[in-house]
Amino acid sequence: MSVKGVATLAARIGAFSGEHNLGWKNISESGQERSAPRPLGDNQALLFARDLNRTYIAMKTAHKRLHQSYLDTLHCLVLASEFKDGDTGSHLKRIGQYSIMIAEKLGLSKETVEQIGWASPMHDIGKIGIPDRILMKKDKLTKSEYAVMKTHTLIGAQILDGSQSEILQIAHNIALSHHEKWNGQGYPLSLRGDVIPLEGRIVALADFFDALTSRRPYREAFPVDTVVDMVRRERGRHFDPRIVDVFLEELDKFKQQMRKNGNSA
Amino acid sequence: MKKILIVDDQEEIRELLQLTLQWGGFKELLTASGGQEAVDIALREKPDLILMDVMMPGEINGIQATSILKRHPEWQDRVIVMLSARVQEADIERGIQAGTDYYWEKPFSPLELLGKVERILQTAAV
Repeated sequence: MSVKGVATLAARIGAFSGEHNLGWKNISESGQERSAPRPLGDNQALLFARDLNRTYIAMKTAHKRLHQSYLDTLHCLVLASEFKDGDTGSHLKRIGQYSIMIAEKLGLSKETVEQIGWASPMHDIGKIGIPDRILMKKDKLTKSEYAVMKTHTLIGAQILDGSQSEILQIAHNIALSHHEKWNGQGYPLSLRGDVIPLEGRIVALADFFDALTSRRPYREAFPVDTVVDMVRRERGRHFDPRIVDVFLEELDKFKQQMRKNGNSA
Repeated sequence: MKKILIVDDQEEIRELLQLTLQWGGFKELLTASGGQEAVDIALREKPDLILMDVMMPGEINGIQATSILKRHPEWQDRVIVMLSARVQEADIERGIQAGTDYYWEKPFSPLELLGKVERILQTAAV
């Protein structure tokens, strides 16, 4: 075998690998070194895989941050909508907590429960479109004033319409339907039974409970037990019976939440 | 848009480097699989940076290709980066003698390489 042949053979069987060139490196005609053809080394593939992993983690972190920013923005939106009510935000917090407790007890998925928690504080966002003289009125509303007030459901739905985000879609449904009644005597659309979105039925009870256990400019807060009786009486009328049952089971938790989030108007 | 020439006799390495540089937004990429091809393409296309594998079979390896190019005036300011598994002092010295601007080790972390290339080309931008 020629000298060149030996060198070529050695190269093909990977005898050359960096420093260990077995003294054959200068044997070709032009005195050049030869490197063994080889597949992407294990080390190179490993480094590549590590980089991929790093990139994946960076992507997940960025996504997490983006999601949190999105939730923060929702929160600001909600606070903006309630600004005129002069509320410290505790009412919104309670509504969120009540809705979460009911949704959990109903057996909804963890994800849905969380989404309802984020969406429910936006139920009255439509009030932004209600004139101050009606919104801030200390006395009871006249019939026509009440009619205007009721449109906050439609306005809220309009504001929250057309989003691809699940939370905002749920918020849209809640804004539109949280004043509907199980027996069809609610507003704005007089929906009945389970045509009313579940999230709307949940917030209907949460809102009712919180409103009556809070002080208003034109009345004092009702005692908790009185409100519980009112809810019981409205089982199957104003409220979805299943939701009332869940509420009654969780009553102690509701009372706890009330105290925890400093219920005052 | 910065132009980069990738020179390596191994197809997998060329592909890995192309993918990596594409992630970094470098769309103008050229490749060569040997020293002679590298010199021809470099003189014709005038890339801003060459990633030059050192050990390549054929008439001209990475050292010689670098040496040839750096004798051209327009290649004084353009960047040549040598890539090699051989990183002994003597190897690096030979690279420097040939006129290389950088000498990096193989195997390399693609992300790190990308970072270095980005930094080099940023400062090279006038």
